[in-house]
Amino acid sequence: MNVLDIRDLHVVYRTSAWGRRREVRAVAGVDLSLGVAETVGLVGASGAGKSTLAKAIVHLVRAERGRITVGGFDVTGFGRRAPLEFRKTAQLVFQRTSSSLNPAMTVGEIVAEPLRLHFRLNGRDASVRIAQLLDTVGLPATLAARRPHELSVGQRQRVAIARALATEPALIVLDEPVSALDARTRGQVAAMLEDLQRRSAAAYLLITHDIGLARHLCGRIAVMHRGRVVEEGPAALVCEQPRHPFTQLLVASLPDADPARQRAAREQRRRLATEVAPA
Amino acid sequence: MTAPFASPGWTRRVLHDRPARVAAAFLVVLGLVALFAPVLATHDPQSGQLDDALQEPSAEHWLGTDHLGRDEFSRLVYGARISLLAGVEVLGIALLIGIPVGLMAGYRRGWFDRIGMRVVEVVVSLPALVVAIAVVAATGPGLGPSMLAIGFVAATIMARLTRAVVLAAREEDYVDGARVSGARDRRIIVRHLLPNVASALVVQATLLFAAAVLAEAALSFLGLGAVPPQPSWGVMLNEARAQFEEAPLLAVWPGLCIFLTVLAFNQLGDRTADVFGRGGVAALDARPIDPAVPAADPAPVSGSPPALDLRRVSVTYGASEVVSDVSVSVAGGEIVGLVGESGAGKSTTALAALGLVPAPGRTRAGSIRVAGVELVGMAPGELRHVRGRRIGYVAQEPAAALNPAYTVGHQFAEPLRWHLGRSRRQARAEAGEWLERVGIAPERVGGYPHEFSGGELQRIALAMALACGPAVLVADEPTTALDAVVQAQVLDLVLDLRDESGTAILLISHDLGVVAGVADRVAVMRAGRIVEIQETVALFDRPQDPYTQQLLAVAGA
Amino acid sequence: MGMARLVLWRVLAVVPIMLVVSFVTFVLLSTNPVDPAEQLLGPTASEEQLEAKRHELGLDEPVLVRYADWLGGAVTGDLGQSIYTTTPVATSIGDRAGVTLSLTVGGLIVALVIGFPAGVSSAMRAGRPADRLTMVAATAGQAVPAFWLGTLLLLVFAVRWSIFNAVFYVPPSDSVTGWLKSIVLPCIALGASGAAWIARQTRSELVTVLQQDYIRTALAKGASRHQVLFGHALRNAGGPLLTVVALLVSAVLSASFVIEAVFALPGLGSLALESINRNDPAPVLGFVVCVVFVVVIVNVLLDLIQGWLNPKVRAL
Repeated sequence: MNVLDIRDLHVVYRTSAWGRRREVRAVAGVDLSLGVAETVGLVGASGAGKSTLAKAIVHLVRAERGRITVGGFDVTGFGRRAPLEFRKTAQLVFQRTSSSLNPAMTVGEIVAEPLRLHFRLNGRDASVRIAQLLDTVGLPATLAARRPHELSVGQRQRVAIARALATEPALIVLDEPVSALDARTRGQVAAMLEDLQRRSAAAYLLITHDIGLARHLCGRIAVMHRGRVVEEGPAALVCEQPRHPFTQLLVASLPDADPARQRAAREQRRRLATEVAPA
Repeated sequence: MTAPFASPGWTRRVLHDRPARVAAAFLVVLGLVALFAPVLATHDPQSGQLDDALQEPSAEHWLGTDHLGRDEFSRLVYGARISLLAGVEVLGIALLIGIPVGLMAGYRRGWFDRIGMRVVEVVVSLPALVVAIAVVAATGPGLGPSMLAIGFVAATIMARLTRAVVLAAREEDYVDGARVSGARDRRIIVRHLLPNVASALVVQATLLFAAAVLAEAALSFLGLGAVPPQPSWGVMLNEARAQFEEAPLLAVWPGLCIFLTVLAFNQLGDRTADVFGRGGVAALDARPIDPAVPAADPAPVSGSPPALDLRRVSVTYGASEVVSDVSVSVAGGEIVGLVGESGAGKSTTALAALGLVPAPGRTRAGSIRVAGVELVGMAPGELRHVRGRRIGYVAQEPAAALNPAYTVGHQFAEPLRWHLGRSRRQARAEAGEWLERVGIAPERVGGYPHEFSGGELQRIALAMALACGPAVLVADEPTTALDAVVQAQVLDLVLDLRDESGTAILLISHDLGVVAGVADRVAVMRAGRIVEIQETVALFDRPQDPYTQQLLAVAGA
Repeated sequence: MGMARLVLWRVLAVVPIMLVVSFVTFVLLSTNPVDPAEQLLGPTASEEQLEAKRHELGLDEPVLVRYADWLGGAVTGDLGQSIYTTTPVATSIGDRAGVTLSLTVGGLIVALVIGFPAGVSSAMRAGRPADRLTMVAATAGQAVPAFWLGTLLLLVFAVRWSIFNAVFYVPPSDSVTGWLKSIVLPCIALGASGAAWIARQTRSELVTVLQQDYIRTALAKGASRHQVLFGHALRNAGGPLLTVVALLVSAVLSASFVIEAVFALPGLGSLALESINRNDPAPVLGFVVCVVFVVVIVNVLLDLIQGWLNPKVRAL
């Protein structure tokens, strides 16, 4: 049974400012599946589509129509609140570390929260588990007493990942987990993620605008453009033989140190730009 | 990220400031005076002999007596009680009613928010005094009803503030994060929202207390609050007016008490606000670039001088040196990448090249030459003629780089008018041409920044920086905030513009991979120093410095 | 098109606000236990005489009917009349409005003319000694109660030194110099703490604006300090500062009622006070309704200007 099943999902954003209402169809009919312990990359340009999908999967936004099933739970069928059991099954890591961790809590308290809510772990048992989780993401246990503003951006993102791991979920959605990090830290956190997925039993949905990162970390890649999945397949295949023009544009946009290859890529980007309407 | 309210020791930080300490001490003393009024007062505040009226200060009556022979000092002491009680009553109502209402409206939203906020908006705009007048007209003068009216208005002020801060905090990802972890509404409100909004509420509470003391005094002065013979400071001030000729000091003491109390609360509130906000240092504080000590060696001139020549540039913030002895040059038509992780000092170096290091940073350099013009020692008034004209600048966040209140065309036209003397119409037409050159429909020149996407704004910013044909362009992380596709587009544009105009470009990035495809030479920066400068291909093949090797290792990933 | 609709919406919204405020105030005033009939006829009047008087005053009708009567009159300009003097409330208000207007406008001018430039220059020199000094003065100024300052000014200038006219208000129609002399002290008292507050708010808002990226962009394009201040910073600070000005108008208006008492000026505040002391509800109601109306209109106007300054709203 698949860990994640999405069928014909539509999510609509409604904004009303100064009496004017606008509707944006962020997700316009998406089908996607993740098997147990699989890592799939969802790649696309920046825009509300991918993040909205991530939020819909963990029931932070409601779908207009379609169906999401996570580990046996019918997410789209939930009412206003999702049951606690579901919260154990699916977790989300946010993009911006400056706002994803409560500045008023210590690192230990942040990681302890899911432990307390789901396993009723307190006191010493909790401390032990917290130290284990911090170690898994490559952080020393002494960091538990610090607050987010005392940590570097990379460290904060690791804490966010540790928090997601705390409930031992079947599915972890990572929304642009390394985009806000500088290149060096990005490499380190990516290496940690690679290591993590090898060791853990969870399925990972990696959402990113960087198809190179997805190639590196994921077994399969799905390409999202204007609210739809336009191409899907094994990571290497999608990157080496992209069929849809937008996928080709993504691949052609990868940075390359070789000047000759870069020049060729520039030509290709110029051609594709006219084919692919800008997001 | 600034340290939040709940971090331990925030009271210590607030009291670190001497005026705040004085204010807090004063209020503690005032509170004690009010509490122990019966002990501290030398006489009964209500009783007096007409024979003793209007006496000068003496050993018996420390501040003299009023027109009915009552001891002024004792009356002031009991007045403190009235003022503080008034404040407590008003604040109590404001907190007990205002905060929950604001919380509900801000967190739950829906019909409660819509209806409740309409009511609050209306009441908040009513002058508090007028509300008090209306209430007192119905009930008759008295401290209780008048303070009830003020409390009601204070509650609406508190409700509006609470709603605003809760709305903002609610949007933060950590609230979503808590929900995904499984936390329910109550836990989210108590454990996540309240600690983070508390600082704003505390500041408002101190200011409201001050306002309440002032309101009570004003209403009592008018005879609508406390009434004679109650020893409210406002009543005392009113009564003193009739004694101008004989005992003018009677008008000073009660007002002084009100003034000091309000001042103390305001001071504490301000200090608390400062601790949780950001200090303000204006960007317009211009300082010239100081020459380095010792002066740089004269440059060996080989061939034409570089378009941008930085020699021994250092930037210090107080005791710490953020940029140390950096030297890098960019020839005409060349692209030099400046790479390093965040905090390495790359952006500061870029700003130093423009003389725009913000205060309190101090820039020192052996030489900074832009198209041959020496910037070291140049007066700030002259520096501005170099900026925009000979050297252009593009920053990381395109959406923040343009003023949201003006059209793109207006902002584009500014440097054209200032430096090249174009007329408004000419400038606008040129702006339209530039837009087209960077792939944006020229009709959109009348559009506002919020109507453009991030990638479009960055292209506009690039064009704007090049509008006056500068010899040098400094691009500080121009693609970091953009996604992969748009990033490639913008870098392609940078190359095209360089090919067309021969501008020298200093391209700053934390990503060696990004820079590699575009730059001719790369300078690697670490902890304020340049550790290596080489031609790009050579750098990738034979990196000299171990730090460069580390960067290369992750760039390949 | 959308902007016009917004304007219409805001202006129309004034009507329900005024209805609610007038109704609540009316009901509130009617709860006053003092019986006007008794007040007028004295304690010796018989019960039938009292009944007759109440009927004459219309007091035996239910509250809603009385309110509806009042409302009917109010929209045509008839705000009822004082129980005691039978002077129409509208006339009393009209006679005294000039004083309140003079005081309020004068106080606002003092506050803005002193406070705004002080705030701007402080912001431009943020962190330097001149800024610190100004802000200390502003902090102190904000804490000074206007009625205390007025009392002290009166004491020093009018009583001790007899420079300014102590008590009489002179309408501008009689003598402009006389009018100015009679309001200069009260307006200074009114404007002083307002100036302090405006200085602080202006500085705070401007400093926030000056820290924005687009200011750095302007400097990088080669703008002079002058161009940055007038071409960018003030424009962006203008919107939030309008909110501050709206609050200032409300505050100065309220304070003017207290200042009237200090200087014994015959404005709307003293009308309200006298009427309260006499348990005369109609003038109080008229006072509340008129003052609230002015405040609401000022708020709507400033709100609309704020909207116009914001290109996202203007584009609607």
